[in-house]
Amino acid sequence: MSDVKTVNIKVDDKPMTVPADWTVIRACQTNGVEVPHYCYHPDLSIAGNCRICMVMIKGMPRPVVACAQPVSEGMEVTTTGQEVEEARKSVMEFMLINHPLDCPECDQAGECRLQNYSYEYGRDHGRFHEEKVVKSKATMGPNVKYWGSRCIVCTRCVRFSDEVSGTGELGVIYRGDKSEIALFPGKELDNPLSMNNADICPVGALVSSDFLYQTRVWNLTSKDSLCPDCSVGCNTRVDSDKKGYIKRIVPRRNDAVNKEWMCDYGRLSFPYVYENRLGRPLVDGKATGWKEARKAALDLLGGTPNAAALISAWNTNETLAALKSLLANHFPEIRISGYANPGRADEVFPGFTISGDKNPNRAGLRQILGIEDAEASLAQLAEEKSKLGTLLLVHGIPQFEMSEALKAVLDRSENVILLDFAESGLTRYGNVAVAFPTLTHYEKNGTYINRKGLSQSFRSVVEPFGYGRDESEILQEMHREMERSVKA
Amino acid sequence: MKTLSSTRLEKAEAYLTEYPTKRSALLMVLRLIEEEFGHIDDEGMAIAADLCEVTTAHVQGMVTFYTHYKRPYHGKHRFMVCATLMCALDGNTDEALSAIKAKLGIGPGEKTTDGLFSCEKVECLADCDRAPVVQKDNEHFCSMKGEKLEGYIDGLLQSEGKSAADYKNEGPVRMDSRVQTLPVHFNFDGENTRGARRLDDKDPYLPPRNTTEKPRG
Amino acid sequence: MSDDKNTSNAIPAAATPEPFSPVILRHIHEEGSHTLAHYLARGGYETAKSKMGTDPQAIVQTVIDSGLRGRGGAGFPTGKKWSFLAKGTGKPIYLAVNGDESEPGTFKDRHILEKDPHQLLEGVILTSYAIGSHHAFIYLRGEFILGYERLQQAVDEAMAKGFIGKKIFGGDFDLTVTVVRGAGAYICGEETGMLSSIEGGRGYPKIKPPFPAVSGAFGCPTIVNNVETIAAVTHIVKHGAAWHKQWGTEMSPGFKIFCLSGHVNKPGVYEVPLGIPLTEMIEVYGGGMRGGVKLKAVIPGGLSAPVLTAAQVADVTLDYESLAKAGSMLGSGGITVLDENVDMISAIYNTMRFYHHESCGQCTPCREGTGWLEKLAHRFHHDEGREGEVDLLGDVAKNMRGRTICVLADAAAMPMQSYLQHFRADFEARVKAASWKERTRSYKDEITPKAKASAKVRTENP
Repeated sequence: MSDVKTVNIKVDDKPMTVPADWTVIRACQTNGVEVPHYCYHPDLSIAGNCRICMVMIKGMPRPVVACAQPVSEGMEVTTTGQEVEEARKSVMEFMLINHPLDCPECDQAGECRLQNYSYEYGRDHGRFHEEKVVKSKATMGPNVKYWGSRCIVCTRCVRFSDEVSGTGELGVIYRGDKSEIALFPGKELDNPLSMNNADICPVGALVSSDFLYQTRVWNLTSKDSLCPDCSVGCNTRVDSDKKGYIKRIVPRRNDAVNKEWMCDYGRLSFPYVYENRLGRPLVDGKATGWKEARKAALDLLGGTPNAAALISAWNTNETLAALKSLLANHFPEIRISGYANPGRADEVFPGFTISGDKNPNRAGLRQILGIEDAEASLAQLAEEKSKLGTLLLVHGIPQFEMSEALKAVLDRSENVILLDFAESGLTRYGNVAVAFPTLTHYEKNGTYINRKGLSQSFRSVVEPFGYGRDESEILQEMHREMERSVKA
Repeated sequence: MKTLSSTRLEKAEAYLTEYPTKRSALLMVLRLIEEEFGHIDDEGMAIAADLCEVTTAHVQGMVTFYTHYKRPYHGKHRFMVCATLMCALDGNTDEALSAIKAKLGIGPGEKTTDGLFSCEKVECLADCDRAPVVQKDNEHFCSMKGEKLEGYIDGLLQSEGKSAADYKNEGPVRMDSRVQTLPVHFNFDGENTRGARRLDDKDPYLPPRNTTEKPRG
Repeated sequence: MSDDKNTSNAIPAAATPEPFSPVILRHIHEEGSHTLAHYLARGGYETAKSKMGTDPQAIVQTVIDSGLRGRGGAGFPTGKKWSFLAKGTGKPIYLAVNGDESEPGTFKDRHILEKDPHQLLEGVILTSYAIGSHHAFIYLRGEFILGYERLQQAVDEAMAKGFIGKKIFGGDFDLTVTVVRGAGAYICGEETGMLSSIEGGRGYPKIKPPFPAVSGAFGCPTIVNNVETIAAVTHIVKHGAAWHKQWGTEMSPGFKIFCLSGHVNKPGVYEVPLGIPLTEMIEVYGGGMRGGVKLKAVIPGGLSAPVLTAAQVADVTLDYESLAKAGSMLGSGGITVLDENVDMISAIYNTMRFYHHESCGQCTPCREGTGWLEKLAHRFHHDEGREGEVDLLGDVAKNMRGRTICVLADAAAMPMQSYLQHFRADFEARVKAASWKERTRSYKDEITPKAKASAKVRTENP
């Protein structure tokens, strides 16, 4: 910060020191002064068209828009007062005259800026008694729907598609009060960042098809989380309903990681939490208690020759450490190998990159277990010819496609101890001796290290669905039992 | 698949090099496409987008923002009648419109069923001293009413092998128009304040009917 | 106002003013006036040729001294605008000549473009040389078909002669002149809207500051001038600042083209010294009211200028200050004369419809407000004004003013406010319709059966 030129300004008599290239609204927001806005978004270019962020600046005859006004030394800004209120009130009235006011059936209700600012600056009754302008309704793409009449033409979505996703599908068509957002005929809004358009829409014009009519937003409980779907580690907010079901996942601002964007894959991945979950611990295919299962597992680990452990890059640092300490203290001869969800190429957009590495914690595998290359580690284990007496497999990857290498490892294992949350190709593979039900990402606490080396922790956002336990808890419990048996 | 003819393509290339950015040549490239195909349709927009290296959505935005480009829903002969105050004074606009209506059976915002003629009201054409001003595609006419206009339409009809009688019993078709043409209801009656003529039109702000363009979404 | 004239006469160099004869429009009625041969025969391009290699700053100073004010509408001093140009940015400088001429009631640029395009080109050469621009754009509205053809022809001719292009007049100054044809948008007459259009975008005006002189077309310093301004530059540089100052008033020196339309006997374009009485324009140049009908109102500077009543017309002179004092503006010089028979409510409805149609839709107050005003005016036009709505018209207009990126919202609100101020009784007379409460009652009756039908559908699909 020291080499950035700064200026001193005053907002409502509150002194601030901000970089010289900032705008008034950014200075206000950063320093906790709320200025209403629709079209302004910190990560997009400035349009200055909604006209509600009016503030008074000393020396200027009338209110100016804070989003387009650069700060200058000694500037004195007033964000309240009669003139500002009047300007905002009139803009608010203009916003609503052609708006259908269909809040009862609008998905945005409850988190709509028109509602919020109307509460502050709106009139108690309308003065507009003419026919409203009716605009089109469209399905923009697989994940986004459009209600034209609700649109306030802030052009956030158009700027997003031009600047961040770079796909440029959206444009404004017609002019005046008939302006609306449209796709070129025959095209659709089908890119992996499309749902951000629904997020940044300040009103209910662009909405997520997935969340549409699922619930009212005031029935949701929001908790902060991380997205586990790739190595970027987007910060998210998970909204769940009163029954504890996840309803949607939206990005949460973190300028060091994902700004305010995330990909559609991550948003739409959560249904696996409720699919084919493993119920109780299984020993030889029969449901048992946790204690029996742990005993069976420990007997296998200690009682069979040539045991091995295999852990995926989907596990938290805590699980990795628990496994490491269990084996190091009580089964020092067991070697730990790692494996990862198969990746693909990075998807690079002008303002965002979706990582091709579909594992949240490959860096953790490297830092805690010293496994530099998870694929090579698995391949090495697969190539060995001798039979494995027992394979401790800590899985936890949703929608996993069995790889040849993993198949080879399973084939040469006589017994498999599996830690996973769902029934999958692995549980049905046949040689699973003990299976522990575990938790999905959204049900447990933990820490991941993303591909930039940033360690981010997260907490559970919903109650566990089923009877699973956290992998690290299971491993620690086994460790404790070993300690007890050694003492005894 | 449409393509530009080689001469126009050369001209387009010349524009693209003359202008500081390829995007900035878009207005003129669209004119070339209008010349080539007679109007700008979706394929034409795609060609322009390719040439100027912009997105098709942007070109669509341009074509719908600027009202002078000829679109597929306009007739082959597109009448634009100025309806702004200076022309509308003394009922000049109405006279021009009623002459067109009498000959071709179309009012503002409509076209003939054979798609040959369309009529629309436009805003000021900047020749206010000689009202009413009428443009037919790229031809500009001043004081265009009465016999002058009728004679001109007769000439057009003759060149198309049609006569005014052909349009007598045919109902007009509404053009798809949002900004492209003005509301149909307008009737300026500036002659006197007492007992002025008024049209009892349907409300002008209904969404467009009989859309000839593909509905989106 | 005659005092003003005296003070302008007091400037030493112009002690005895020449009787004024048209300058820019002098040759428009001559056969072939648009051709290069015609222009060369009357000494064309001599000035531009003689100024090549001289100090560009001298040309700027001449224009500053002449007191020339922008003829497009705002009346900003041209020389001053040029001096605001950001220097040493390392970016190219552009000149953009505004020939969009979209203000209703204005048709002066059409005559320059169609009848005498070469004097405009000479002005472009001089201006470009003065401000150091190597690329000039002339933006014409799409409806100027003949104007475009003639201007393009003039550019080609001048290019062939080496007046524009590489190393013009054999010197070392390069100049490209590009004629851009718009396609029907009033907003492209706004300077930044025009720049957006030149950049190949929708004609959205840009947020100021930065002003075009600092960051205009393509993010480079750009000077935007009206066609008439640039044409006047040709003559000012040729004859000198003092020559220009001998006409007009002290604050509004020189001459201007006025476009007379409406109920006068001889509508048309008239080039006159600034500061002549408006009545002279109507009576002498316009040949008086058509049919001898009494004057009702005058729109003095294009449709967006606040309207003047007959009483005000008598005191007003045609210069920037006098009209501003009368609460209106000189604007682009489009004078529309309305006689006693004009229904002012129909006129304001027509005006509002124009702005509703032409609003670009960028800023909320303008996008929504112009439509609202039109719809209100539309009801008044059909005698369906309701109680309290005359005040509502004024309130909506007031709320639109000064809250948008460009002045289109103001341009729409100003006529409405002035009509309300001067012709309020006309509005009051149209308040006849049933009150809003009575209307809603009848709507409710209609809605009930539909509501029942929709309730039925819902139970089928729980």
